[in-house]
Amino acid sequence: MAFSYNLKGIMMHIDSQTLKELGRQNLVDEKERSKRLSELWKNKRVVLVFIRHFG
Amino acid sequence: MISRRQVADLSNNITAFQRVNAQLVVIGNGPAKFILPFREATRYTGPLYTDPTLKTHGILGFKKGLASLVGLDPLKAGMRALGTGYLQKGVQGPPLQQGGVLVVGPGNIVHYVHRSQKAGDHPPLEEILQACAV
Repeated sequence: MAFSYNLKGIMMHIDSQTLKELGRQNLVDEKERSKRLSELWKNKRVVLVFIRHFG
Repeated sequence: MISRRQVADLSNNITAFQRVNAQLVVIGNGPAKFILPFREATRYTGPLYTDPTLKTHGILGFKKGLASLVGLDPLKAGMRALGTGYLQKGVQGPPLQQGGVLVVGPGNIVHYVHRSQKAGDHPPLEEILQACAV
C-alpha cells in the first residue's frame, strides 16, 4: 500500500517496498540487543520518532 | 539540544499516544552507549533504540547535509531549547543527519510520514495524534 500526502509543498511518500525494506533492518537497544524493525509494528500501531542525535 | 527537548516533550505526552492505541518508539543514530545518558536527560522510559549504521535513515530518505542545518528556524529552535534548559553537550551521532516521524501498523501500513527539512523542524503533536486516530 502506498502512502503520500503533501505538506508545505514537500511530497511525503513511502511505498510498500520501502516499508518492507525498512522493516528488515535491525536496531539495537542499550544492552546491544538486536531488534528487527518490523517486529515493532507487527501487532500494534507505533509512532517512530527518528531523532537527529542523542546529544 | 533539539532532540532532547523533542523527546522530553513527547515523553510528557505518552498517555495521549496510549489513548489512541499507539506506542511511542524513539530511534537514534549514535552508538548504543549514548542511550542511557539520553534516557537520564529526557526522563524517557519507553522503547528506545539506535541504528548506528544509519541504514534506516537512508531508506527513509532523511535529509543529510549542511544546508538542512543552516537557516533561521534551526537557530530559533535551538534558542528555545536552550531557554528551557536542554543544552546540547556535544553531538552524539552524525551532526548532519536529520530525522523524522512515522506512524506505522498494525502490520505493513503507513499512516503518517514527516521528514524533517532542517534542524528543529518537528511535526506538531496534534498532527501525529490525528494520524494515530484514523
